[in-house]
Amino acid sequence: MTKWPLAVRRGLPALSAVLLLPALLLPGLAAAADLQVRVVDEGGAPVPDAVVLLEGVKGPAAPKAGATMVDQRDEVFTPYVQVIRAGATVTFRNSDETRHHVFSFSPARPLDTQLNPGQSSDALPFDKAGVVALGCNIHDSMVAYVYVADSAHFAVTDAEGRATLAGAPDGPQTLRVWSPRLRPGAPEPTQPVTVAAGAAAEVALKNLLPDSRPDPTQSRY
Amino acid sequence: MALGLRNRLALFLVVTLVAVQLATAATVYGVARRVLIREGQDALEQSAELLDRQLEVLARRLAEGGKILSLDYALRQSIAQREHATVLSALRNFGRRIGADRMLLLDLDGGIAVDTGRPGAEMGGGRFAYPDLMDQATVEGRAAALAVLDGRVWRMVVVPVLAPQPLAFIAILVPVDKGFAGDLRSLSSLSKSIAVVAETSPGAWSVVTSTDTVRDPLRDLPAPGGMARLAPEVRVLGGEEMLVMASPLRTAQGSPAVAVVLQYPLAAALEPYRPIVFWLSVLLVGGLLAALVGTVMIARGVTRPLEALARVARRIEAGDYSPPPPLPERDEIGQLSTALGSMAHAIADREEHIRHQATHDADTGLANRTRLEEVGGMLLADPGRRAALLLVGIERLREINNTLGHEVGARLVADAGARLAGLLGPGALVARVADTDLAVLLPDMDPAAVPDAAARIAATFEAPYAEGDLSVDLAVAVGAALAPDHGLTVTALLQHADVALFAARRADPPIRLYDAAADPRRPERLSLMGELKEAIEQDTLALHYQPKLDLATGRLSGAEALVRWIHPKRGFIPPDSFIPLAEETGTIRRLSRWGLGTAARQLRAWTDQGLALRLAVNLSVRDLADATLPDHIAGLLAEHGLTPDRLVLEITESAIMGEPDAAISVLKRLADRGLDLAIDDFGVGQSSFAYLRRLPVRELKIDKSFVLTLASQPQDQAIVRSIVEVGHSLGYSTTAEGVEDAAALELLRAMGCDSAQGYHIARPMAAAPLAEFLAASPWAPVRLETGVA
Repeated sequence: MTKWPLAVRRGLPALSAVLLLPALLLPGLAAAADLQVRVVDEGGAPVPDAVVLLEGVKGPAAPKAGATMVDQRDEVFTPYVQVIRAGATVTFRNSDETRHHVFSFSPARPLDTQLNPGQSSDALPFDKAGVVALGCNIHDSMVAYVYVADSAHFAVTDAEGRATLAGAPDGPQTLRVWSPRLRPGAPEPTQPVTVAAGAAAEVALKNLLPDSRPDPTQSRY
Repeated sequence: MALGLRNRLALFLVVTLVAVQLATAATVYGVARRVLIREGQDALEQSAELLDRQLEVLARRLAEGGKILSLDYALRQSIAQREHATVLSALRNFGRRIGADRMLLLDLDGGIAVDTGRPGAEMGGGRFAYPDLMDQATVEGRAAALAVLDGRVWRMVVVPVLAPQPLAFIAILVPVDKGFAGDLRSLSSLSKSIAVVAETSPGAWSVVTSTDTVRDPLRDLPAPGGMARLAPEVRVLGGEEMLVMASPLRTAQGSPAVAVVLQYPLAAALEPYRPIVFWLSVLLVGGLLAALVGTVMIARGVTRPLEALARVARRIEAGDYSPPPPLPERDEIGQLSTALGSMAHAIADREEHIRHQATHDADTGLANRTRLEEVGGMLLADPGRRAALLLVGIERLREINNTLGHEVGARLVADAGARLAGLLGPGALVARVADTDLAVLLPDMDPAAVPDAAARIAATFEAPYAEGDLSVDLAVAVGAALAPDHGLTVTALLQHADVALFAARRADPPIRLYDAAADPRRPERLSLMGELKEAIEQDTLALHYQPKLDLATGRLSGAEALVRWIHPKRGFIPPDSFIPLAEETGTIRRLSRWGLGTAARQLRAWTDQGLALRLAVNLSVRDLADATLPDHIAGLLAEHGLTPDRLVLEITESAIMGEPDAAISVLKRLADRGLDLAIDDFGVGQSSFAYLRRLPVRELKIDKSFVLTLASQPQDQAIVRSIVEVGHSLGYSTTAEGVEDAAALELLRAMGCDSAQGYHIARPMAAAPLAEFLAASPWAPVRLETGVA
C-alpha cells in the first residue's frame, strides 16, 4: 500500500475529483434533474457500497422513510450499507437461529439491542446525522453501516460503483461521498458538481482501505 | 659426518610420513574448515531468517492477544465512551496477562490516549511516534515492528480497536531484553551467539541485549544508516575464530535502526573434528613409530650384512683371504657376499702367483734372493740362532749358456737346485741368487759340520748333467758364511759367502769358509784407501829393494822395488792388505806412479853412486789401461837422466791373461821405448808360451812356489828347468824368486837360470840399509863403467 507522508495526507482533501460536466444546453426553467454518479478508487475500480449525497439539500422526505430494515441473516447484516435521512427509523430483524447482539458505539446513534432468533426490534429512530457502525457483540464479523444523512438527495453505489441522485435541484451543488473503506477519522470527501439534465459525476476516492467485509469462506482472525 | 644408511632411511621415512600426514591433516583441516565455514554461513543465514520468522511469530502471537483484547466489548465500550481510567486498568490487566510491559491506547489521529508505561502520566499526552504502524494495522488488522521508544527497543504490535469500524488502536510493547535473547536462544536451530544492537544514540550502535557467548558484537559493524545485511564472514574475535553476520531487523518507519549480530564460533564448530585431529595425531605418532621400527629393522637387514661384508673387505685388505662366512641373505647382499668370497679367493690365487713370481726365479722355479732374504730374515730374527749360508757357484755356466743356449743353462741350474734340495732335505732352502750362484740356507747348522756339508755338496756335482744325448760335466765352488759369526743378516751372509766363494774358486778343493781377515771388502779397507791416498800425497810410503843376483856373473845386477807402508796408527800394513784393494778402487795407478817416481829417484841415486843396478817396478794391470803411462815413464827417465834399460816393468802373469789389446799396445809402446818387461809369478797361471809370444816380454820371473822347495822337490826342478830352457830357447831371460837356500841357488845356476832373488841373497830393504848391504855383500854390485859415469 502506498504510504503517504503524514503532513501531506492531512493537509490535502482526500478527494481529488475528476469532474465530467456535460453542458446544460437548455437554460430553461427545469428545476430538477438526475445526477449520475460513479465512485471509483485510485485505480479506477468501482467502489460499491459508497454513500453519495448532495450536501445540505433539503427536500421532500424520502419515500422510503420509516420503512428501513436491517436484517441479520446467516450472521450477516443486510444491507451492508444503507443511507437514511435523519429522523427516519430503522428496524433490526434477526432472521437467524442464533441470538444477535446489535451494538453501536457511534456518537450519531449508540445502540445496544439484543435480538432473539426471529425477533425484530422496534422501529428505532436515527435522528442525528452521521455514520452509525453496527456490530454484533456475539459475532465479530458482522458489520453494517447506516449512514444518517442530513440531505434529501442520497444514494448508495451499486456493484458497478454507480448511483443516481434523482431529482436533484439544478445548479451547482456539493457532492459528498462516504465509504466504509475510508480511513478511520478521515474526513468525507466532497466535490462540487453542477446538476443538470443528463449530468454525471465521477468521484475517485484515494487511499481507500480494502473492503473489510469478511470473506465467508475464511475467518480473518 | 655422513649419515649412515640406516639414519638416512629413517630420516627419509620420517620426513615423508610427517609430510604426508601434515599434508593430510592440512587438507582435512582445510576441507573441514571450508565445510564448516559454509555450514556456519548457512546456519547464520538460516538463523537470520529464522530470527525474522521468529519475530513474526512472536508478533503474531502478541497481535492475536491484542486482537482478542480489542474485541472485548466492555473495553470497546469504555473506549467508545472515553472512559480512559477503565481502559488503563483493562490494558494493565491485559498486559500482565500476555506479558507485555507496556500498552498504549492510541486515538485514530495518533494521539496517545492511555499509556501504561508512564507512571503519573498514564492518561496520555503526546503523539505516537510510529503512525505508519496504525495505518498498517488499519489495513492489515495488525502491525508489528521493532522500534525504539523512550530509549528502549521494543517489539511493538499495533492492533485496531474495531467497533466494528476502528475506534482507536492498542499498541502492545514488549522490551527487547535479556529475556528476549534467551527466548531466541531457546530456539534450538538458532545461533547461540546473538546480540541485538540498536542505534540508541544517533549514528552509533549500542548493544541492547546479547547472549553471554557473543564477543564484541559492535566491532566492524557498518554505520546504522541504511545498513544492509552483512554476509557471514570469518573474523577473529577475542582470539577465537568466528563467523560473524549482521542483519538489520525490520523496524517501524522512523525508528532508529535495530540489527542483530549473529556469531558462529568456528572453534566450537570444529569441536566434532577434534577426535579426528586426535586420531590423526595418534596415527602420525603410531605411523612414525612403526616407520622407525620398520626402518631400523630393514636398515639392519641391509647394514648388518653390509657391515659384515665391510669387515670381510677389511680382512681381505689386511691379507686374510679365508672365505667369508656365508650370509643367509639370498638377495643382492648375498650375491655381494658370494662375489666378495670369490674375489678374495681370486686375489689369494693371484697374490700367491705374484708372490711365487716375486720369490722365485722365473727360469728355474727355484727360490730367489727375495725368498732367501724372507726366510733367512725370519730365521735370523731369532737371536743367537745358528745358520749357515753356502754359496754354490756353478763354474763354466757362462760358457755352457753361450754354447748350448740359455734354456739348457736354466735347466742345468734347476737340476743343480734339485740336487741340492735332494741332498740337504726339506730343512734347507735352495735359492738362486745370481746367474751362476745358488745359495743354500741351512738352519741350526753346527759350524763344525759346515766343511762336511760343503764337501758333500761338491761331491754331489761330480755326476755330470745329462739331458738327452747331452752330458755336461759340472764343477762347483762353495763359499760358506755362518750366522751369527759372519753376519746377522742374509745380505751380510751372502756377501761374505760370496767372498768365500771367490776364494774357493782358486782353491783346491774349491771350498772356503769366510775368513774375515782375507776379506778385501771389509769396510775398514775402504777407509784404508783414503789413508793410502793421503800417504801417497804426503810421500809417507817407502820403497824397499830386494837385490837380484846375476847367476852368470855372481854380481848383484839389480833389485825389485816393493812398497812398504808404515801406518802412523796401525804400523806395518802388508801389501796384500792394500794392493788388491788399491787395484779394485783404482788407487793403484797413483801408487804405481808414486812408485815409478821414487824408483826413478833411486836409480838416479845409484847412478850418482856409480852403481849400474837395474830396478824392477811392479805394474798393475790397471796401469796398462792408462795410455799416457809410456810418456809418463819416458818423462821420468828423461827428468832423471836415465836410460830406459835401467827400469824393468813387472806384470803378473795372471794379470795380463785375457787382457784387451789396449793393454798389449801400451806394453808394446813401453817396450818400444826400450823398457824391459818381465812376467811376474810365472808358472802358476794359465799363460802359454804361445800367448807370451804376442807380448814384448824379455824376462820371466819363475813363481816362488816352484823355487821354495826346489832343492827337495824333483818335480819343481823339472818345472824350473823346463821353464828356463824353454824361456831361453824363446829368447827370454829367467829369474827365480823365493830363493832361500844355497842349494836352490846352486841348482838354479846349474840349470842356467839367469838371475835369482830371495832371502838367501837378501831381504827387501830400505835404500840406506841396501847401500850398506851392497858395500858389505859377497856379491859385488855391477858398476858403471867409469868412462860413462
